[in-house]
Amino acid sequence: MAEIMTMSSDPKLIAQVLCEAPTTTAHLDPGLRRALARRIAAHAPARELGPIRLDSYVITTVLRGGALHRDGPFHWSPRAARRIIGGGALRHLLEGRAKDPLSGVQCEITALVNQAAGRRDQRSGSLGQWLHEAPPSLRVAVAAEAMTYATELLTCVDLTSLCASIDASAADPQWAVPGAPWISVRGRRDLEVAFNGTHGHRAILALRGGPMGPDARYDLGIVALTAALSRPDAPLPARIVGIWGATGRAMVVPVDGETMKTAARQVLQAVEALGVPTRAKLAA
Amino acid sequence: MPITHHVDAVSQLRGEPSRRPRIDRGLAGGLRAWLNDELFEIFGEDHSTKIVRSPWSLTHRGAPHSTLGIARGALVGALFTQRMLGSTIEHPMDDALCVLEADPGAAPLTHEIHQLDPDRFALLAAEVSAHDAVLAQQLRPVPSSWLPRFGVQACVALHGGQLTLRSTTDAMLGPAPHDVASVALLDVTTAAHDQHIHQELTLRALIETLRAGTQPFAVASLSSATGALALLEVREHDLVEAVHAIVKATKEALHG
Repeated sequence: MAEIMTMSSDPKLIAQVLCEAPTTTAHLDPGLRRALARRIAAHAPARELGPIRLDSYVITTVLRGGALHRDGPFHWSPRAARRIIGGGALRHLLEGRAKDPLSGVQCEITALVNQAAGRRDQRSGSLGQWLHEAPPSLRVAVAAEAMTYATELLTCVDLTSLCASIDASAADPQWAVPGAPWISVRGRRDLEVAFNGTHGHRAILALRGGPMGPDARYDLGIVALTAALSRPDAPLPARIVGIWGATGRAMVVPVDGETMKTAARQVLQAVEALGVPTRAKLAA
Repeated sequence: MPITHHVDAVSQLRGEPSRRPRIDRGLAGGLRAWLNDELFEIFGEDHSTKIVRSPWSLTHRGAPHSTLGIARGALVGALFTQRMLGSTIEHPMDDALCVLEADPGAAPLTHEIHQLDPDRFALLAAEVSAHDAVLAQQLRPVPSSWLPRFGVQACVALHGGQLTLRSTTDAMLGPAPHDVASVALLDVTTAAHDQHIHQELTLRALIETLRAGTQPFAVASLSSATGALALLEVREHDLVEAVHAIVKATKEALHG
């Protein structure tokens, strides 16, 4: 396995690391993808228990033997909306439609509210509807959170020395398991950089809160695996860089076949360890 | 360190750009190594004790805040963000409370606020309004080109995690620095500044230096009780002073 490196989260260093040319053009082994799908489906918690979304937080928590927090029904909050609105603001910025994170955030909130007000988005739990009904002070709090997120993303990489184009696509990569599509694996990442002049070669950047824990490398490996599973036609991401902004530290995980196998094993172990009745047990 | 009244805090914080220090890329690493050496001496054979400190807990030994004090701090903190972004506030208590109510992490606090008897609730609302009037006087909206971010957390582990320094900055301004320090920190406190404010600011500056690898050019605290702005233009000797304060506080925590 290629060497994992921890370093300072200096924006220039991060840009350098992200820009390093890929050392491999390998794709995800189709055999690994098929085997993972088959084994997850065999051990899958029953469909009757509802959809299950596995991300690296869930997987590493389950493997540590920790309890998953079940907070009850989801409610929007400034915190919950920050990545969606902040990511949208960053896209406005990168495409030249906004001059700074705040104006990008305002564009994004206005678009969401107008969409809801125009009755094109009538889902009662939608972000647009929530913002539409929110009092002005709450909208400002949402803007502050989203702007903070967008600015953190914008300043964590020195864009002037980045020789690659940034893809701040809205959705996290997600893979619905063939044979058990109610189970999906999701990789929480914040940016992808596409290497100039190559086809599909990319590096991934993930922002994380709090201190860098002992599971950090596995967290990043699972995100890289999900990115590879969701785009089997593209080469493996060259590397994934995690930034723990609160500590000023970063971790670089080169992505290779061994990283993919380790991450796949962890996904599978988490499915097995979830401790809920499987389809087979329910049938019995 | 100057403490001024009736000022535009954001403009004061920006100061004179020509006075900002050049970035010394070796400074943060040197301070960290120095602290680690000192902590190695202090902890000695003790590999199990873990200490977590904030700038406030390093400089104060008082009793924890009362519920009313914590509630006031959280509500005024919410209004501080609103003012920094140029929001119009007509009903300070309602506006701040509605922000707090939307934060799942603040649920126990909002529950306590709603459990207050009407007299205490009215007292809290009056206090929040008074603090907001001070904020309105002292804060102009921050230009968006200054890249403001709010509630920025820092968590610096030293000596293998035996000492963790934590801080939350209410507002951080400025882009990542290249050659000259370009980041400033602004906090709001609902208390009046006391004799520890200078040391508290040096500690905030040190934690940010260790976190980011580069020092901020200014650190300030705005008291919404008095309207006073305590402003520290960060220099190397301030960071050295903060190292001494941490060493002293850690010795006291371990050996009395």
